[in-house]
Amino acid sequence: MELEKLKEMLNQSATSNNEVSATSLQKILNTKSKSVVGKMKRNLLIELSIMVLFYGYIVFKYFNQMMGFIWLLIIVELFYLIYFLIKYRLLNRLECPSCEIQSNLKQQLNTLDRLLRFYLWSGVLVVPMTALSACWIGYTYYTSPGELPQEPSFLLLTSAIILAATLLLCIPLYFFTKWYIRKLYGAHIEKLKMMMQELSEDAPSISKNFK
Amino acid sequence: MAVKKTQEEFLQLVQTHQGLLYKVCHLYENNAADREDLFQEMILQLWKSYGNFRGDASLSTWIYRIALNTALSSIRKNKRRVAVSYPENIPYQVSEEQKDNIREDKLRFLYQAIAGLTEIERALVMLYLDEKSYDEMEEVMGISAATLRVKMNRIKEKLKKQTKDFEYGT
Repeated sequence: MELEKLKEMLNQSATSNNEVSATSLQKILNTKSKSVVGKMKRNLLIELSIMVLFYGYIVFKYFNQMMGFIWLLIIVELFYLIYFLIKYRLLNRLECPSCEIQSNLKQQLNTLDRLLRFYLWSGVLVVPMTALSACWIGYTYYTSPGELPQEPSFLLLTSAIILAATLLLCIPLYFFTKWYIRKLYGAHIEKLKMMMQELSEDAPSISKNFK
Repeated sequence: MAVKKTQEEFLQLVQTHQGLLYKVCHLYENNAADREDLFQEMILQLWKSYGNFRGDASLSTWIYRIALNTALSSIRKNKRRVAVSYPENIPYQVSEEQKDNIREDKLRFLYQAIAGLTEIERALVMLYLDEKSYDEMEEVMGISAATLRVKMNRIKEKLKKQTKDFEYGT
């Protein structure tokens, strides 16, 4: 049968013509992974370094001058660290190259679903948080005394209006981010689902968000 | 020193099994540049997992898992095609080697037929071509030997039909 001939020819070609030297292999080990997961991890680490350096510099520079602002930065930084840890953990779990093919695909599908939901919600929720923080900084440090009313009712009302406006902005942002995620990963998720279905009848279902 | 020794061991291991990696590259990528990228990625993934290899599975099973997982599940831009043009389908080394035209044509038909298989089916063909037993295939793929037998028979039928279609131009 043809398959037998191919077996023979493929074995022959694979053993005789593709000798890669130890030096070339060593060079490969010194290169960086071109996989998207590898790139995502690298980008996340770069992001972390920038955040730590930038926030560290601001905290150091304005320490004792704008204590409220400094505390806000520290809180934001703590939130960012939580974000970083969750995302990094999910990225690490996205790949299990030495696992059986089926379990690796299943794990990838489940983790990708969680990672994308996390990406979606963190991207959307950061908007009202940023808007409120920016308004608070502006109000506390960049307005002259008496320029704006100081009554608690005014502050509450303003905060409520800003929050409502940013939450309104979150609605189109939510749909845009969902569309963007589907554009980036939709084809890959479909491919994983198809492979899972081919391997087993009970493939895990990806959340409706990204269908 | 210990790291260097481990790296030397690893390089030796890869050199011994690089034929296996090339076979996977040939079945999943259609041009030399993509094959090179895939090969490089496989080496990096193998190296990353090498420290955790405890011999629970045989060495070739472990290499196969990593090579196939890398080829199957890496998130890449949509550059992998199922149907590719006629000459692109033949591994260049094989193509250059073949002096016998009839043989080369048959091989070309078969490669074209394999390119028409799904990625999972190609993984199974790969293992079959490497003379893996159904038990070993089960260890790599994670599906039962009985299911694998059924799938493999279906693939053989599919290939037989497709190569006949190509030969007779239908």
